[in-house]
Amino acid sequence: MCWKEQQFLITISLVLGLSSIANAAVDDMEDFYSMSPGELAELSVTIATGTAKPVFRSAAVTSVVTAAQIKAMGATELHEVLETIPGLHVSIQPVTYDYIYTMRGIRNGTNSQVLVLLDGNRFSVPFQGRSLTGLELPVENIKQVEVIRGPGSAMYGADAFAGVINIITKKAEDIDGIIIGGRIGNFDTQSVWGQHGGQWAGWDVAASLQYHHTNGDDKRIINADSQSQIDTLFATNASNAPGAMQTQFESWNVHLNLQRKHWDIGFWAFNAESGARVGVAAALDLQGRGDAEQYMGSIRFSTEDWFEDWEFLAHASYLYADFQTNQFQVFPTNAKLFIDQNGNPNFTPPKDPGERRKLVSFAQGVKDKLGRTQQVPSFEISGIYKGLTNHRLRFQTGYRYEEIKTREIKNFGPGVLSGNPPPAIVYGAMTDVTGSEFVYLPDTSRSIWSLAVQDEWQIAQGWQLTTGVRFDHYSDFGATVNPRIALVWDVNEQLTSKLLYGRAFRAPNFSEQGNINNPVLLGNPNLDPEIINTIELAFDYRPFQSLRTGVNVYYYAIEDLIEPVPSGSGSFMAQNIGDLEGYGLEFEWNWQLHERFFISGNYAWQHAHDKVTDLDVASVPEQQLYVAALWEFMPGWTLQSQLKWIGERSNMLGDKRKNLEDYETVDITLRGEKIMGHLNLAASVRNVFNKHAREPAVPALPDHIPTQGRSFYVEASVYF
Amino acid sequence: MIALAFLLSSHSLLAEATVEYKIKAAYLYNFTKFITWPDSQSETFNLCILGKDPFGALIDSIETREALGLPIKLVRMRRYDASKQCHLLFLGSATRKDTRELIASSGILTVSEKQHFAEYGGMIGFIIKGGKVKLQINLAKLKDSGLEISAKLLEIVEIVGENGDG
Repeated sequence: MCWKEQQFLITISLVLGLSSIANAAVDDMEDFYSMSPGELAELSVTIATGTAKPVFRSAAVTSVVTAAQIKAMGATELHEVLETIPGLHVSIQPVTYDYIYTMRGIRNGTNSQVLVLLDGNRFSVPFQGRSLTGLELPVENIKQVEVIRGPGSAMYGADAFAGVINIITKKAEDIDGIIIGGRIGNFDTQSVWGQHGGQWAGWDVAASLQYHHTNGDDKRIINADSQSQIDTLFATNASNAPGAMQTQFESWNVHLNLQRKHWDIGFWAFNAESGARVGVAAALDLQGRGDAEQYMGSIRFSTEDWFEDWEFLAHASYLYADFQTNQFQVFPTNAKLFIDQNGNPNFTPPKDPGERRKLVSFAQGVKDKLGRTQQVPSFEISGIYKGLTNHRLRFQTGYRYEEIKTREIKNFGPGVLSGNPPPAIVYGAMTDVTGSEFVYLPDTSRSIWSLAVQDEWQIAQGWQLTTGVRFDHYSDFGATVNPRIALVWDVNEQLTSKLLYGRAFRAPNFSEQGNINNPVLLGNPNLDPEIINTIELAFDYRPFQSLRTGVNVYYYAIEDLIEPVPSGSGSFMAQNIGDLEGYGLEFEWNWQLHERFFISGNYAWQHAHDKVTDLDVASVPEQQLYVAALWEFMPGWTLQSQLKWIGERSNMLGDKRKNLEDYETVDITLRGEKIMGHLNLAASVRNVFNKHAREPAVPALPDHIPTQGRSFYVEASVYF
Repeated sequence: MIALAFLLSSHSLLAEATVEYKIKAAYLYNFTKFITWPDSQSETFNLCILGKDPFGALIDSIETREALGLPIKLVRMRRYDASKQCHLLFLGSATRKDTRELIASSGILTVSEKQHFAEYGGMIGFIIKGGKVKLQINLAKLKDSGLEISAKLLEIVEIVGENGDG
């Protein structure tokens, strides 16, 4: 048989195979129609929860957490939801002490290796390629959280590196009416929210307002900080340690959504004021406040049913973010420091005997009042072509502009204490270096063009092949091309298997490219993007109707990882130097044991290895376990208890601090829905056993960062 | 929903037939056999789907069947349109306002999978219990609307609303 004949036969068999699927579907449906109501009532639906149908078939390893699950687990902030995702651990960033979403052993200090989307809109800002400093999302307006574990650049572009998190907010039909709620808890925590979902002038309208305040856990004591060590050196007494981390936080969130045929319009506003946590230089700062403001607007238009074979979508969005520090003390009142000829504090011994250093006392502390405004307009057009049998093609092109404007007023550093020998005592007078060569980062911008194509091909019954590639051109570092391929095979009714390959990139951010005048970390304009190649093999097995299990194994290799490299005189410069590989597995289960009893959980193991240093990657858990049990003890009343265990985190090479201990937290949540028709009540205890765990800290801190202790809250909301 | 579709557009199997919706579609057909409607002038039995359509193509073959001796006609609508003379109305995205207005119009069987639908004034609500699709029926509303339900169907449902314990 010649090649052409073979090809013909394959085509024929595919066509026949597919037409038999179509018939199978009808026959199948006819069987259902012939059943009696009694018979129908005894059939089980695919997944115990009756939700998340597409998850096990999606062309990626995906997790979905719904609003109902978020309520049942008692989470009040996004990071608590993410902690329940297989292989995801929420740790703490150095400098800002915001959260880091560590996935599969991939962690960087600014959380920029995970792409966060809000209703499909890029939510991160370009300064450090992550959410704005100090922002943390409350959960009341979240409809569901979708997490792709693994690469996503072939579709989403930059930073869909370790994974993608998409937060879907509630729309008019999800709220449907008016909800007013409030919550109080320890640490002087109060939250109130109001939501409205209804119709107005032909639009489905959803509006939401949320307010949150907490003083933070004052038992998160830092026994000694970086200033304590300086105090020992110069016999001063400036440090605020021992003292509590300044985790006070206050936030406002506003969301408006309008939908009608063809249109989807969203507006979000976030405003947060937070304490300095451990302080930007790991010296406790009791006065510092960070003010974060972020606004985002998005308009989508879809042709929907205008054309038979095509659907076109246009999407425009605009992100505006402003961050400002107030009263920040980098080092506390009366700190005494060696100031080098750049005017910066320098802690390394002078290499050159002629190098000028002077011991300076800062009577009102080392002060830095810095701010930045970032704007990101973007526009995308995509077309979906459905005219080919068994294929679904998608084309997309987009443009995005990223801009930052910085400002800084300070009493130290280049342009302030450089040049002339500094005085022996520096007081609180501040110098405005905004717009000068002495600011921490010059104003900068870049533009990004992208082009993406994807084909979903139904090869045969139960076989689907998704291939895609995306081209991104950055005006600063150039172009990158990222393909992916996914083969999904429904082996039988119970078993689905997936083989996935993807390449992804993380764009160097403005801070890594352009930091100047910084005593510690300097930017490098010649950086290339970080690249990751990932292979995954996943199985989803549903042995009987009430049990769903999933397991996947993965291998990834990261090249050109951007890391700080010593550049002499105590500072570091960002370089594409890292070379990592990692492998691991994730296992998850959801089991409806009984009509009123549901258990779920996951276990993840990973091994990440740094090929440059030949060491295992430090600070990330090698193992983690999550187990939850939900009991509906009365109609409308649920009790959920959950446990998360974090295991086997190593210190970095040369880090002589006590190793990070394994820890577990247990949370218990009681919830009653629709009491007397309109009232919802909840009470929750988080970290029931008051486990004082630690998350990795920068080496300047003598000990790792303590996490939050036991907390509790009570909550009520009315729905009418 | 657009945002979700946007994200999951790489996962086009989102709308694929699932057992859950096959069961629900079969229930809808069954209702025509166990519920009696007041006489109407319509030449077709109009099965309307209002708002979001979770069934997609899998319910299309219901049009080859009959109800009350009339051919079944599927009518998909974004906003409720009284001129379509619905016999059975499935509210894919039911707002309570829609529901309230529909209670006033008699002779239409309202069905939804929205939580607490039957308790809030709808007639039949699909609920998932123990991994199975069960029915909640607001008997009072059903009767007020001039519909009659066979005792055979009542055996397997949970009655809510004024005459029930919900």
